Amino acid sequence: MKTGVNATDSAVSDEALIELIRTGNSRAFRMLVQRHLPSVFGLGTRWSGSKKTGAQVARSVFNQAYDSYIESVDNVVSDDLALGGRGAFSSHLYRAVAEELLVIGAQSFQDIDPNHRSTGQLQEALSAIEDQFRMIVLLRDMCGLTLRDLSVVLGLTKGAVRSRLSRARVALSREVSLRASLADVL
Amino acid sequence: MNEFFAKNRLSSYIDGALSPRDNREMDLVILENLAVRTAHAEMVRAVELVGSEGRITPPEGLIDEIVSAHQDRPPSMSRMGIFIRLSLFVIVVCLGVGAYYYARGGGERVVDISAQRDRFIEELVDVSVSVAEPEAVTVPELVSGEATDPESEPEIQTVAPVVSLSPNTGPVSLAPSRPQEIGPQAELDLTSTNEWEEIFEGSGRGTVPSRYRFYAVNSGSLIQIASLARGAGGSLVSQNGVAFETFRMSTERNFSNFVARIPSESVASFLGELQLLGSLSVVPSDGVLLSPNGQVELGVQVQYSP
Repeated sequence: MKTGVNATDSAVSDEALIELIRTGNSRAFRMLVQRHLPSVFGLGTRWSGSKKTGAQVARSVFNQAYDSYIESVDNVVSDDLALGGRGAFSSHLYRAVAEELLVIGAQSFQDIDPNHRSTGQLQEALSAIEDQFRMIVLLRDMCGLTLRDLSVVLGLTKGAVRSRLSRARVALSREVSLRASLADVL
Repeated sequence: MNEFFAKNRLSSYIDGALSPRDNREMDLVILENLAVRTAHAEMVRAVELVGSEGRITPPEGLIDEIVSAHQDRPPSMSRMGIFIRLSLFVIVVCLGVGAYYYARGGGERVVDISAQRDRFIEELVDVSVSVAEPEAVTVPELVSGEATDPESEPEIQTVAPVVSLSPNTGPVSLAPSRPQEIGPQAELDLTSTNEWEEIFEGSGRGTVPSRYRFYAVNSGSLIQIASLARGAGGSLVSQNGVAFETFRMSTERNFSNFVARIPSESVASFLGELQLLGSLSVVPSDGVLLSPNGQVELGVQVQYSP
């Protein structure tokens, strides 16, 4: 079946892909997963410190998104909730990830490569800060969500987003600097 | 701008979210204040670290795993879809149960026909049951013949009709020429009758129709026969000779045997009226049983349609 879209064509919006999925186009779903999986998996993995958990969250979130958003004919996401430049599906996806991760929390067992210095330091620093700080920093600086996007996903006012993001960055930078200093000493 | 406010605005400064005026002020503070400059450097470092090192490549096969999980399972339904399918399922189940009970005839159902019988009899009691004599048939006048075994069957004699129709002449219809004018049966529900079957019993020289099987679809047919017998001056008795009583007929035991005792002079009219209920053809011959009171006995079996 001709999809009419290219897998690498970022000009095709999520909503267009979803319409194709609803008409039975399985390639469109693959493209949608391909587009969002790095962020979803990275967010889940960095949040929990475990790739296994990241993969589990990705499976769960895409499952849930397929059932409750893509397949559901009567889903309505107002424009206010749609992420700027990303569409309502991104909003739905990141909200689902955030909700699931906040339930899971950071894992005691972390399987991210500890031998890689900067990656290890980052993961340690992320694990050391509060959950709400870790979440907003990852959504903003790793996934690239705007302040408005963060407001939609986290359900906060823009002022609250700015304040929380500032405090989160301060906390994270303190932890990163601390570990960098220790590494230099050792 | 003092150090406290400057540190609080570092995050917005990095994001470029400050107004041009505030942005310029922040530039100056960062140049002049070592603590703010250090805090800014540390924050930029952390933000860049998250941006550059934060992303982790998903393991190979995870995409396939997620995609195939949805290809292998049926699509979920919306609430409306679930409601519609559930409704259809309930309707189909109800139809199936209904069809089952309809085909089964309601199970082991016992039909009490007494009230129905009484009603029919009341309706028929004042109605003349005189039936036009069939032109094609001379009413057989039955006379007593020689008893074959008077001791073993003291009450019943085998008689030969005085006026007999030759079996070679073929079936002779006893139907009246104007059946619609005959008897009260015309007003009865004849749809309850769908077939007659004669049971020919070999007797003497020819084949004698002395028993009849009457297929009926409900108990009303039996009441019709009883009414006809009464109208012909006869009666129905059960096979063991007991007077016919309203009985209960089970759809499991879907037949009932009884004997019609009809005066010989009314046999033709009785059979003719029975014929109106179905497609009976009578071929009178010898060997008709005659009861002691001069009545002819005809075995009748009523059977509900399977």
